[in-house]
Amino acid sequence: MRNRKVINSVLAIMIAFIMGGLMVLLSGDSPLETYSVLLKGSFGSLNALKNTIRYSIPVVLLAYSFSVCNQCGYFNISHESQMYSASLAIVMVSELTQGWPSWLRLILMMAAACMASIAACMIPAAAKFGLGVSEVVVGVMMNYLMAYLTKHMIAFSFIAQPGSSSIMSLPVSESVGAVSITVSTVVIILLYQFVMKKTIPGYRLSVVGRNPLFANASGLPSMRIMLSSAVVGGLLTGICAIGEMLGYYHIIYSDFAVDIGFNGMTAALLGAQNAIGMLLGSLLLGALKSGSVLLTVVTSVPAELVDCVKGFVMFFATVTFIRSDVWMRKGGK
Amino acid sequence: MKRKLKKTLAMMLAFVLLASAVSGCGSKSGGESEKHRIAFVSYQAFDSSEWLQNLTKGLKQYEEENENVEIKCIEALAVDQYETKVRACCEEGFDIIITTYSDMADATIAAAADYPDIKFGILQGEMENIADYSNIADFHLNRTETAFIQGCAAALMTKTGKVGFVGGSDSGGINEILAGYQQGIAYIDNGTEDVVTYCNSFTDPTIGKEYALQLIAGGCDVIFGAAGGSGTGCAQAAEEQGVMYAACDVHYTDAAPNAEIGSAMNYFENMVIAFIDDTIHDNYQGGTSREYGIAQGAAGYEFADNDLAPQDIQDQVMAVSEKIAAGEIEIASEPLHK
Amino acid sequence: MDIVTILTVAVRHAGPVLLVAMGGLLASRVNIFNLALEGFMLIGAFSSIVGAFYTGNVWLGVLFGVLASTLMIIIYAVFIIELEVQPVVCAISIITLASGLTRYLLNPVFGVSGRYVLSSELAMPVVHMNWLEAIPVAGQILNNHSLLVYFALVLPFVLAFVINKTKYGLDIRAVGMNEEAAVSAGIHVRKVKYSALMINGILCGLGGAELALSVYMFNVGMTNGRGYTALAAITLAGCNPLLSLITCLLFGFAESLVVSLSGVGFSSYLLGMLPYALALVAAVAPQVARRCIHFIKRKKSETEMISEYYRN
Repeated sequence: MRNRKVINSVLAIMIAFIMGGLMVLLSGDSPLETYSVLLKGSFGSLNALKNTIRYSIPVVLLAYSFSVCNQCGYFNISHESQMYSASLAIVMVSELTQGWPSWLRLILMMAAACMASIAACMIPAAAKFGLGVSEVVVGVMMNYLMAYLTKHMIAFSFIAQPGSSSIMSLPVSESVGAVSITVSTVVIILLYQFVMKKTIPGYRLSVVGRNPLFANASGLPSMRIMLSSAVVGGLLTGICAIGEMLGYYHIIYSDFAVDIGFNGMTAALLGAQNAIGMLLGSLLLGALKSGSVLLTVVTSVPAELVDCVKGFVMFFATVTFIRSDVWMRKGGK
Repeated sequence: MKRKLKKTLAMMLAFVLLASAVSGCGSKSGGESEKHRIAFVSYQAFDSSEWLQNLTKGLKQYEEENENVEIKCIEALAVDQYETKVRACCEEGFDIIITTYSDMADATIAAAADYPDIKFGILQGEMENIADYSNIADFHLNRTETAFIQGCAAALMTKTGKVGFVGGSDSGGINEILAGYQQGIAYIDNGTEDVVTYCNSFTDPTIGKEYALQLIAGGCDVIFGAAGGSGTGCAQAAEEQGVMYAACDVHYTDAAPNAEIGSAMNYFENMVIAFIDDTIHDNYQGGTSREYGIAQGAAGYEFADNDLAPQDIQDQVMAVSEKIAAGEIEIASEPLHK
Repeated sequence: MDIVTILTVAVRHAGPVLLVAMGGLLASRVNIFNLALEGFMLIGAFSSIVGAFYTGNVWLGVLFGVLASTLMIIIYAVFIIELEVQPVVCAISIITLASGLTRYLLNPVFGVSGRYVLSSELAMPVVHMNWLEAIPVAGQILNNHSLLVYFALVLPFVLAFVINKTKYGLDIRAVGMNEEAAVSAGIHVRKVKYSALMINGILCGLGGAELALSVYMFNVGMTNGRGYTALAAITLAGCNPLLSLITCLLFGFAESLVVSLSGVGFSSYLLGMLPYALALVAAVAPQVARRCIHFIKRKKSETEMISEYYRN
């Protein structure tokens, strides 16, 4: 049964690549060259591998965040607002603690980021479980609100950088190495799989997610568990924001987190919310991104077509071609 | 059945890998020693602003006219792509790389440090410590100049004494244009007042039209739109309501054939081509910041074909232009008010 | 800016969003969370401009928009219903495909990039109704809109009637509530889902056509989030057509308010937050009010009970 799912996904991705290749052919470029450049750009050199990992890390963290919350019935699409809150917290703490020792600033910034993103994650959850309001509406509205608030802050407040041609924040001088980020992510991946499958809290989470009423009847405090899933989800997003801000950007750029939640959600759904599947889905999305970087630099394939190829891959990657009834009739396993 | 499927899948995978290995072999272009390979990395989509469209067209034309130059225009629309794309350009053998705006400043600095032989240029970079980077040249087109002239034209043409401004976003680049506009109006000093709005989008003509309609309803009879695609909506509103439209970087012959009083043209392509010319003729000035304006031929005020401005106002406006080119007028880059 | 103008602009702004929202509402009534409304609206907008360009007629352009959007949604429907693709992933890929394709096709079809402006003769005609001039306030607000906007205003009532009073509406509600039960009741579930999605496609095409043809141009990305606004509006309204009318008008009012408050000196970013803050309040306030009322009622009956007890 699980093998079939893997075959489905792989088959689907192959068909997607063929369809994308057709589109490239129709536009006058060579599909073989396109795909070879995509491969080269994602896995063909040390730099390419580094880029793929760099792009996959935020996706996998947000995919886990989405999945943890989703398993408890909280459809978490407010990742953008969590990212913005966390990064605002980092820069504000950085500005307020100028001149303090570096290690203290780093700890404070990371703590502030996590607290801000947890708070942002809790708001739609609280609205859903406390007031019965759809968390989708609250989440989407919060995304827009935080995007605008961030733009206002980096344009006009004490964290704004004066004299630049686009709005951006002041830089943060502390830095976290790419290696530390990668290692921490691997640790989180292993921890996630371990906790969800082998520990009691992880089991409780999945029970509550599958049937909250039954869980309540069995004596599990459903409400508390659901809210704690929001805390975990927010924490994961906070870690992602720390990685992006302190690892790569050091400055809040306008709209830097646009559609970041969509990517995480796509990876989660591509991987059928199973820990390894989500990791593979994130790697696929990360590879597509780093491959397309090389594609736009080396070939003349327009960027819109690269987007179309991405669209096709996602399109087909969860198609269940081989339907269960067909298998059962044929007597296959 | 399952084994057969697995086999076919394995074969397909192998084929794809083989194909990519084979095609990957011969596709690197042999580096002819004389050809200069130039990359232009834009943080905005090429079709989002008129000045950027003109820039890419100008660069393509330059490439056709000069055999020893190869120019590639690349979009880097997401923040996480700035550094990776610039570095990819460095590795692919481009010897001149031009980036855009302060968003890409950090990416440029990081790449310039690792590739000291590549000559970098940054457009509107506003880099403060430019002197520290010997292989980055910062060049800036001062859009306040043509906007100043536009303000003069608006103040001279208005009959109601009120003019409007619709900007795409409240940020440095647009506010530069606003600053010039307001100071131009103040220079003419005939009691004209201006109203400033930002429509928060460069791609929504419907909302641009609403903002312009609101300004017109408030008494403005000249609208200056600096908002890309949304500006086209503003031009339509001006045309429909019979008021005047002041354009930026383009002539709206399709959207507002009878409403234009002139366009504040900024020839970014002239500035970039001047930089490329200097660089390939061994006149690269790394670590410096250069300003371009009307005097350097990088900007100019143009009247439309059936322009609404009568000849005497046109003459007055061009006289201001000449004064600016001669350096007689000082224009600050901060808006007077919002 | 006076309140009448604000409300007129609100109606004008809400028109396309309302059309798309009604389409999304029908889909969500059969349990298909159509996240890709934005993509279908964009395709409708682009195709309507292409159609108007080639046929020289506004209404044929609208037809083109509707056909293209419906075609795309049939593909979407096949993928979600037959091939059981995750609807959300499929929706995200449709949105990506739509924005990439419409941007890419501008060059081969029109030879331009970024935007294409038609001649002003191909603008969506605005209807002026003389009898509305007699009605003092509402008349002015409802006058001078295009036919599609009027259609959008009437559509929620039509949909409410169809969903609640016709057999087709009963089928839709049945499928939405419990698919297996619907199957056992003899309802052709696949047919209902397909038809709901097709109507969704037609309405998205109409919404996109109205958006594009009212400014007789297409600009890359011109839908600017209206599809998501429509989704938020129907979710806020609990997929009820009449309440969705109110929420869409609320969003339109908020946008119109933002336009009217600009030029005064507020930060444009804070102003931009207004529609979304208003939506949040609209989502939360009724629930908070309900809980407060519930709390007050309980307190009252408790004190009554206690005083009864002590009296005895």
